[in-house]
This record gives sequence, structure tokens and C-alpha cells, in this order.
Amino acid sequence: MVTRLIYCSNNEKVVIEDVAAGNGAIENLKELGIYPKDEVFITKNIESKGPIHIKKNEKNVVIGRKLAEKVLVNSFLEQVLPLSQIKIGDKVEVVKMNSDGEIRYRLLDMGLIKGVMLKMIRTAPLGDPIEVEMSGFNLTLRLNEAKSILVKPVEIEKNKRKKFSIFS
Amino acid sequence: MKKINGKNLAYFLDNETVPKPKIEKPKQILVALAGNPNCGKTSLFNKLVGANQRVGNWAGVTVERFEGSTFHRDYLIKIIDLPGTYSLTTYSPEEIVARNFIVEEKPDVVINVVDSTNLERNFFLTTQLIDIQANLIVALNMMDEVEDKKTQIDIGHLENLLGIHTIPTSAVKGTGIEELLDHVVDLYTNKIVTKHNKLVFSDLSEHFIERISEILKTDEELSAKYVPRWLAIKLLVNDKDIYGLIHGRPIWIKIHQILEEAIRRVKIEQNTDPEMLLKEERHSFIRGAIRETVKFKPKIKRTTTEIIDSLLINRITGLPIFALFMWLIFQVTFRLGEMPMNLIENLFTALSNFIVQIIPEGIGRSILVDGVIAGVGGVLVFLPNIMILFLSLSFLEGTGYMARAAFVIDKVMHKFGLHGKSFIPMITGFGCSVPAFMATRTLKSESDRITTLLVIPFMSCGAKFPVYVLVAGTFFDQNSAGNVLFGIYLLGVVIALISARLMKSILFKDISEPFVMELPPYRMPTFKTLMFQMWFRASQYLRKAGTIILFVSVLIWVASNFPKSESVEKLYITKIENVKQNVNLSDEQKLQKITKLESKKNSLQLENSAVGIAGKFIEPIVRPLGFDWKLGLSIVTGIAAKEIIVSTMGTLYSLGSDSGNTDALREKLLASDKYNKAVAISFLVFILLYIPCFAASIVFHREAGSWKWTAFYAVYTMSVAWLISFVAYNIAGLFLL
Repeated sequence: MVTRLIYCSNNEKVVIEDVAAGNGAIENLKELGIYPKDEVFITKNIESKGPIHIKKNEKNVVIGRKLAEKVLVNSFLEQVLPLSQIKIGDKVEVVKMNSDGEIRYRLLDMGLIKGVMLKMIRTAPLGDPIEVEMSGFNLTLRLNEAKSILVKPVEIEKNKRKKFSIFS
Repeated sequence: MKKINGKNLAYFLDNETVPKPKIEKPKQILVALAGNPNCGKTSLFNKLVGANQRVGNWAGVTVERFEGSTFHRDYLIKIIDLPGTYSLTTYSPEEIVARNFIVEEKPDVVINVVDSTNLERNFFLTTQLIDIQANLIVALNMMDEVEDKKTQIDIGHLENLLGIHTIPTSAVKGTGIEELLDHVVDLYTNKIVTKHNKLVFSDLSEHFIERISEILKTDEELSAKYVPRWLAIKLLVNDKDIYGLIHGRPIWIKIHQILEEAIRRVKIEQNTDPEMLLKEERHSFIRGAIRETVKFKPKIKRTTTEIIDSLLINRITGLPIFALFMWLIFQVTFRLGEMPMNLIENLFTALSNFIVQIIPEGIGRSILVDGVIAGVGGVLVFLPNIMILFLSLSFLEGTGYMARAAFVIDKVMHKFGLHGKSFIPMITGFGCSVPAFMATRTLKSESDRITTLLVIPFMSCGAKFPVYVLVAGTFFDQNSAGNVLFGIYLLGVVIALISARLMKSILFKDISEPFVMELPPYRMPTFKTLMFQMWFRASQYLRKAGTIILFVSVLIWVASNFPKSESVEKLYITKIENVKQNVNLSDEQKLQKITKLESKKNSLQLENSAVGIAGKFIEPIVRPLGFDWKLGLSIVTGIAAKEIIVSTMGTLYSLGSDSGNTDALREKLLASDKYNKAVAISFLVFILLYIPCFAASIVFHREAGSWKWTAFYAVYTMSVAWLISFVAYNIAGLFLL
């Protein structure tokens, strides 16, 4: 399945598919020696921060987080990660909800259970909270609260820069 | 039987129709409206009962209780608008109130108001109402929007599935209202029946529900009052209230064993817990029911809401637009409010002048003019602010921007333990604490609301401004006076935020309201709803707070006029007589001397009055802050209203009729050797931070809902004011002398 490089875990072998960004980003990647259809091995990807270390033909390459977010890869494994790490436009399926206390009841009552599809709509101007679309309505959550919702990406927003991308 | 995901889950509903005998019942029907937030329940309620409604509080909680009544086909229909909830668990006061009303009061009919554009989420509550076996009617509200979206709902099929009469309505367009009332009467008179279908869970869940229900049925007292099946389901989902209801009873031992077994088996067979299992099955049932009855038209275009949101809350323009809206609310409330406020003030001044002319001087006139009329004026003067603010707030709430405003600013507020929704009440505090306290109603969680209430006093209100201008303008040159003013406002905000952080971590042990919130589609609120909201808040203020404020105003008048010293009175009357008799003086000189003597008399009388005694009494307390008894006394009168501080100082410095002349007052203050820049800073800080005026404090008490919090509020603002002033005085003393 096509997914984002940053969603993949350590020790995973993936095939570079595309870069969901302008030509500049593709050039940057080429300068690092990474081309589409390359098979790479992820050596280090720390959750939600820092650059990503990959290996291509025994050669180590380090890709900055911002760029790695836009790199689309083909992966054979299923990725499960916290909702807080999902990028705008991506659709995910809820795998597990580990929230506790009041928030757990709120989410359950609003229908956030295993198997429900969510789409990341936007983050607030200051980066937190986030807005997700559920079946039929939009829900807000703080990043901290989204951490305990585990999801698997099912559809990645592949659009290179949208025309009015500043408006989303 | 249906198979979903290969699991053997039964999602049929049993139809057990119980025909009811037609009997003659009293012609009065008790109806409850239940539904999700944002489902148009309140609009429907307003359409049903019109202006014929009252509001109170639910016992023990600060949740408002709306009730109204209407006549339909000779029946008096009394309608209770339950608070909007997503569920009937007991996690919020709203849910407890709604559930207790349905379960304990057993209304004749429950109308479940459902947002037709969002059936999946709304039906979660519906299925819970089915569990309770309430006498249910479903109102498919917002049908107009469904039609606009070209979605089709097979209402007949839906009625069959749920076993409930389902009526399409639109509160905005006013359709379906008559039909809804017809059904209420028909259901009450048993012309039609609710089938009391039940939602059947999977075999595994049903197995345990059945076994627990069987045991519950043996407890006659319990099963007479509650539906055993409902209790069983609630026990399986760990409902604390139901647990409390049952665990003291003899049947508990048996039930406890079954519950433990359920937890074990669900873990083994489904790798989850019964609570999650039941909730998942409930949602799956709903999804199935919707798949069968609703045909969605695939969405191609971006919806209007998506377009508006992409403009209003995107990363770049989100904050500026938010700031603009907040600025607008503030300006409209306080700038536009100024005109009617001046009008009210002038009207009352004119009234006082008129009474002064027709009634001879004496205590009676003084009570009437300075006590009652001034008091009524003091109550009414807040009305324009309150009305405009609540008009703006209900507009923001009604359109859906309110939730977005909270979304935009939540990160900042949450850093200090507050909620995004605390922002509006707090900035309103810069205008006046009275509407600011009232605006905290938008906050749902108690801890967020109390914290916000407690920090609003530090947002410097408009009435303190003249004091700042007087003091800062007197002791600092033009350039630094501006900086001092800015510093004072900034200090207020800093203290407010630090206080919020402290309260959240000490008083509320970091209980934080989750930001799980719906962003409803943008809608245009109806003019009627806006007007109603505005009038409703205004009348609430007048009835609940206004009367007490009036009473306290009179009390303060008494305290600042009594006891009167007879000897002073006599002494000055003779002195004034002497001046009048003095033939060596021209008329102009006489007038000057008499004015001086009168103001000296007033000053002495104020000193002798109860307020004056209080001012002297607190002198030792305020002396470490650099204040003499005159400043202390000004602070005391400021508790009545901040506007009085400057005029009190005028009286104390015997400016007489000149008391409005701040230049004269400035000279007097500068001339005194007791005052310097450090005292000025200390005084400014104290005025900024200490308890707001009486009117505000009374509104605070109403909103906080308990004496405990009101006492804390008084002590907290006073001690913070004292402490920070003390620090400011001593630091300023080092640098500014």
C-alpha cells in the first residue's frame, strides 16, 4: 500500500513511489541519491520527531522530517500509529482507542470505535488542536488526546501542492 | 441473523406489540425533549412553546432547566427541554440530569430530537432511549437540510426498524410541528403505541444480558421501578450510578459473579471488555440501520461549511480573523453600549433633579435620590452591555463560529489550564466583569467555569480606567504614564494566567475538560432565537441579580451617610450661618466660603460614617502598602463601584462641588507629602487586582452557585491585591524615590 515514509517503522523495507510536493523536493531527494522505484531500508524513525535514517545499497542517507513527510513509499506492512501523527488530508481507520476516563466515554458516545474511518482535516493555526472528519460530522481533539487513538492509514493525500494550499 | 465481518452478530429488533387499553386520562401531558447538542432541539422547543417558557436550575447542578407549555387539542402539554447530550451515561451533569428525568420522573412522552443530517451519531442516544423503554417519538429535525443535500430517508422503513413513530420536522421552517403534537396526544391517549422494540446484541452479549436480567427480575422493588434489561446493560458497561443502586442489594452477589464471568469470556472470545463490546455492537447496529434506510447522494462539491472553514480557520488567516471577531464583539458591546448607557445615566440624573425640586430636603429625599434612584440606575446601566454581548454571543454560537473560536485559541488557553472557550469571557472582562461572569455559561465543565470566573476580576474593567488616569497622570510625566498604564493592564493578564494555572493544578488537580467537541456546520440563526436569547439573559440579570444589587446599593448609601455626627452638623450649620450673616463679605465671597464649609462638612461626615470607620479600621492593614486612611477609604467605597473611587477622593480632599475636577484633585494629591510614585504604583496595582464591584460580585455568586466559591473569590482577590501591591510598593520604593 502507498503510504508516507514517516508512517513506516524501523527495520522496514519500502519502495520509493513519489514525492507529494513540488519539483524542488524531488530534486532534493535526488541529490541525496534517492530516486523513485528505489528500494530502501529504514534504520531509524523516532516517533513524531527528528530526521529519518534510511539505507540504500548499504549507503546511509538521512532525510529531514519535513521532506520525509512528503515522500510516498510502497510498504508491505500495515502501519499502526497514533492519530496525532497523521498528516492533513490522510484517511485512517481506527484500530484501538486507549483513552481513559471522561474522554474515553465522550469518544465512545460520539461513535469513535474500532473500524471507524477518520480523515484529518486540519490543525488549528497554532498547531493544536486538530480537526478530524468522522462519518457525518467534524470533531476536534487536542494532540495529546489524539495520541491514545491508534489508527492505520488507508488512503494518503497524494496531491502535490494544491492550488490554494494556504487555505487548508 | 446477519453476519458482519464474519462475526455472528444479531441485529434484529424484536417487535413485541403490547396493545394498551383506551382509558380516560387527565388532559395534561408531560413531555421531555431529548437530543444531541446542535440538533436544533432548542429551536424546536421555542417553536413548540413560543414565549411561554420559564427557566430554572436543575436541583444540585448548574445546568439550566427550560420548561414551557402549549395547548393542543384540549390537552395541556408541558414540555421540559432536557440538556443536549450525546449519551445517557453519567459522565457529565447534563447527562445525569437528562437520564434521571427520564428514568425517575417517567414523562408521559419523550420526544427524541434527531439531526437528520447526522443520523449515525444521533441514533446512539435513540437506542439508549429505546433501552429505557421510554414512550418515544422521534423528531427527524433539520429535514430541510436533508432535502437540500438530496439525501433520501426511508421513514417508513425506519419506523419499522425502531418501532417508533418518526416525524420529519424543521424547526427553522416550522414544518412538522402540528404533526408532532398530534402524535404526542395520540401516543398519550393510546391511539397509537410505541412498540418497545429491543435492540438485540450479539449472542455473547445477549447471554449475559439475559442472565443478569433474570436475577434482577427477582428483586421486585427494583424491577417495578426500572427496566431490568436496561439495568443489566448498564451494569455490563460499568455504569457507576447503577452499580451504586444495586451493589448493596442481596442479588448483587449473584450478579457480581456473572459480571466477572462476562469480563473473562469477552476477553477470551473477543479480546476486549464488555463495555467496549456493547458500545461497538450498538454502533454497528446503527450503521446497519442507516445503510438500510438512508440513501446518501455522493458528495462531489465542497460543502459551504468546508469553504467557510477554509477561509476562517486556516493556518494563516485563522488567528487574525479570530482577533478581528473578538475585537468586534468587544467594540460593539462597550462602544455601542455606551450610548444607551449614557442615556440611562442622564435619564436617572434628570429624574433625581426633578425629585430634588419637588420634595423638600431631608433624609427621605436623600434615601430616594441617592439610595433608590441611584441604585436602580446602577442596575439598569449594565443592561446595554449585557444585551449586546449576549446578542453577539448567541450569534457566534448559533452560526457555529463559537466552537471554531475555541478551536483556534485553545492551544494558548490550555497552556494555562483553561479551555479555548474561556477566552471570550476573559476579554469581556476588560469591559466589565458583570457580562464577563455571565458569559462563562458557555463553558460546560465546572472546573473550567469556576477557574475562568475566578480569574476574570484580574482583567482590568473599564470602570477602573479613570482611577488609573488620575493616579498615573498625577505622579508620572506624560511619557511614562502611558507605560505605567500599559504595565498595569499587562500585570492583570499575567496574574490572571498564573492564577488559572495555579487553580487548575491545586484546586482542580489538573482535571481538564477534553477538547472533544463537534464543529457543527455553519448555520444562520433565526432572528427570533437571537432576540429571545438576548432578552432572556437580560431578564435573568434583572430578576436574579438586579434586585440584590439594588438592595446592596441602598445599604451602601446608608453605610456612607450614617451614623451622622450631630455635633459636626451643628458646628458647620452655625459656621455657615455666620458666613451668611457676615456683612463684610460680597455675595460671591460668601458663596465660596459656604461651598468650602459644606465640602469640609461632607468630608467629616463621610469620615464619621460606617464606611469611614471601616476605612480607618483597615488603615493598619493598608499601611504596609503605603496607603493612608484616605486611600484606604477610597478602596472601601470602590467595593461598591469603581466609579466612586475618584469621587470619594474628591470628597475626602474637600473639593466640594469641585469633586469632578480632577485637576484640583491632582494638585491636592501632589501637595501631600504622604504620597509618592511608589505609593501611586502600589495604589494602582491594588485597584487593578482587588475584588470587583458589588454588582459583579453578586453576578459572580449567581454563576458560581455556592457561597464557598464566593468566599474564596473575595479572599483570593483581596489577598492577591495586597500581596502584589506590597511587593510593588517595596520594589518601586527602591527605584523610584
